[in-house]
Amino acid sequence: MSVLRMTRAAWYKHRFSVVGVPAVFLLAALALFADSVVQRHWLSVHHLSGCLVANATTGGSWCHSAAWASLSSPTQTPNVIAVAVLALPVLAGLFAGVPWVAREFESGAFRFTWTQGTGPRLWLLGTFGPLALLAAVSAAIYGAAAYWWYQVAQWQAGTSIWSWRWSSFELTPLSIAGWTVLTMALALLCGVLIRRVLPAMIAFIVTLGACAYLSQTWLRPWLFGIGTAVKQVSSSASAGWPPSTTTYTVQTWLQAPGGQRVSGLPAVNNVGAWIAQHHYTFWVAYQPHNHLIWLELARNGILIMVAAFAVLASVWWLSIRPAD
Amino acid sequence: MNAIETRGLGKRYRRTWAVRGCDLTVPAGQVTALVGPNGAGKTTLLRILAGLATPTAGTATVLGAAPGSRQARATVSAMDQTVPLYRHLRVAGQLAAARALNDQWDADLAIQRLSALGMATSARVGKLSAGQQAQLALTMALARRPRLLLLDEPLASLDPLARQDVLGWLMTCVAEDGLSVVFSSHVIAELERVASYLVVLSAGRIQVAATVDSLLDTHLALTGPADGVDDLYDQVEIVTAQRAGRQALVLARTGAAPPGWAARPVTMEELVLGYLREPAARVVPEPGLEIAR
Amino acid sequence: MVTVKPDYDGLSPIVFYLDRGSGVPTYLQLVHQVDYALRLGFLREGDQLPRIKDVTRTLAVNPDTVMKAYRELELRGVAAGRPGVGTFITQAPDIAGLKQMAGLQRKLTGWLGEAAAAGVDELGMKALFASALRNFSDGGGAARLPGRDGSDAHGGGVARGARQDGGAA
Repeated sequence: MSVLRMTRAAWYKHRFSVVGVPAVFLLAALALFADSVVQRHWLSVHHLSGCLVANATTGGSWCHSAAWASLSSPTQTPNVIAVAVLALPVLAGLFAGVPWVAREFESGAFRFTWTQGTGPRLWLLGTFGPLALLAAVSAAIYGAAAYWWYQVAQWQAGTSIWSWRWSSFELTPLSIAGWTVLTMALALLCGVLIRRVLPAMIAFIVTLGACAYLSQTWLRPWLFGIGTAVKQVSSSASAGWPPSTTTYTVQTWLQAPGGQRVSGLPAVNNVGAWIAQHHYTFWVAYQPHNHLIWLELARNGILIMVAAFAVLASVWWLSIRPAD
Repeated sequence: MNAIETRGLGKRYRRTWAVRGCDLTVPAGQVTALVGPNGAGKTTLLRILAGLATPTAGTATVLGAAPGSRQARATVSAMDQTVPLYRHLRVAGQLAAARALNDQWDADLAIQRLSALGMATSARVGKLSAGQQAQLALTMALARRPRLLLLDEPLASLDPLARQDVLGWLMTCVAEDGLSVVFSSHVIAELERVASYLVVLSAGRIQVAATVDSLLDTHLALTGPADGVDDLYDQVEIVTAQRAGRQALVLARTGAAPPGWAARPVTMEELVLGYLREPAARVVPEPGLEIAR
Repeated sequence: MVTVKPDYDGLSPIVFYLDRGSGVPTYLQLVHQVDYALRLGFLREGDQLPRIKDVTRTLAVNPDTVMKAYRELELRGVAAGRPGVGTFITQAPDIAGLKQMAGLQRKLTGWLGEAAAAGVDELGMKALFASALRNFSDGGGAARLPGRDGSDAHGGGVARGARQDGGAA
């Protein structure tokens, strides 16, 4: 049973999904790309392109100009935009991934498929695999377009470009591809466990939501706390640590002359003067810019590991309970 | 090699046993008729043999391989009662998908048969009539060139002419390729001229499992006086007895008619109905035992 | 519109049919039909019997059954199989001469007249004849009627020694 043959079988059976999913990703990518081209052209016409670049490395919104106000820009916050962009892999998994498996059981067609030359497991992986692969690749392209588009969109929305912001973190080729792989794997698992389209869809939404929640509230803080750099900041700065668009602050604290650690800042007007007066030192634990890529790889690697686990669980479940 | 071998096969759904304690040995090259009332477990048994259901107890092998294994799938074709197909595809697409899913595929056979039936390859499978869907499923099952065919009520949605045609085609495959067939059916009269092995399933248990020849040789339909039936129980092995006012008709497992009774050869229909009426009666060859003549 | 396809490829001069309601085993029906065809002259020495493949297809009958019928004919010496070619009639069975047949028929007509005069209807005549025939073949008839119920060649047999003291159907 060659891979090619399984792909052909997938083509005949699920032509719509096999074409539709990459098509949707690529069309969306094209739309984002086109929109960003228009926006960037506008910026260059108004000699504002430099602001974009400057903002990206040094931070600060000093580049606001009057022209900015007349930009036809999205008024939604970056968060909303990011969620909308991330919705696409979810929809792909929901409407293409889940029915792929669940429908086969619900309609009874599995009784035909499993009495042909392929068995349940090969059918599952061999036909679903090409879909997941196509989805992941087109999602990566989509992610690249989203990343490019989001740079301008962030700035348009009136905030500085901060690559550590959660939406910036997610709107990258790696992250979107990672999430797509996970959604496909979860779609597979839900389809195999539940075997009815509608309940499987609900379970899919629930599990994916749980994964997203856990990733945001637990995984991200935990991951970002690993391998932080620690640095003493000169107390001549106003509140201490100037916010930078290239680093991610994990923790700040004061150190007393005796060496004790004190968290929090004194409630005085001039914090810097107070620190110098009392001979305290101001420390920060942060993630420098060159850690970003590793953290991205780590976070998405974990997503892919969870996906692999879901796939293995699906195959195992199918082995012990093929039908009935 | 035996076409089917089961030892103590059983399948339970929640509380009830659909099949239980099934010991079956069907030699290869036979056309086996699987009969029994609704709910007797025919579909469950066929699904287990096809690899579509896992047994709760016991073992089964088809052509020496475990049901559902790669080896079994290569040599065994099955057609489920629900006539499973990819209903959203067109016939051509369905055939193409089947071809992709199988190592062995006789495309010529499929195309010739379908065009002989007048089935357009551009028709949507879901829009075909029940009879046409059954014909399509059967054609695909045979295009896989199996050595064993498991059919669950394949003729149910076919008109009389189509039934004759399908049975004729199946018998040709048996004659030419030595195909073994197991099919379940409610129409017993048809089975008489087609089946060479009979399995009667009743309430999940096997009542009869023997070759048709041996069954017809060892049973007689006896007619005689109604009041002589009680004495008859001591003389011959009675399967079932029907009494009217003065006359009685008895299905007996014996070689000769006892005095006072007229005997004639029994038909398969009478045999099957007789056993179905008496769930306690059994004809199951035990290893080492010959059916008494 | 029904298109009539030729059932056989013209190799055999006869066509088989099946009477499902008769209660007679399928293979025996085929044997009898060959017999009758021989007697009526449809089959002659050297003619080929329908191919097993064709019979199974048109009658939807198990090939083993056809083989059993042909084997039975071989045992009776009526036919012989040529591997890879088919089964052929080797000799016409011994039938009584034309004159004997005519004489027998005359006697039979006379009996029929007597029965009719006694008030026996057609059904009654058939029953009488069937009963007498059964008695003859089961009981003491000097000439055993071959092929009645499983043939002499087989060891077993049904209703071979059955005595019918008033039981008869």
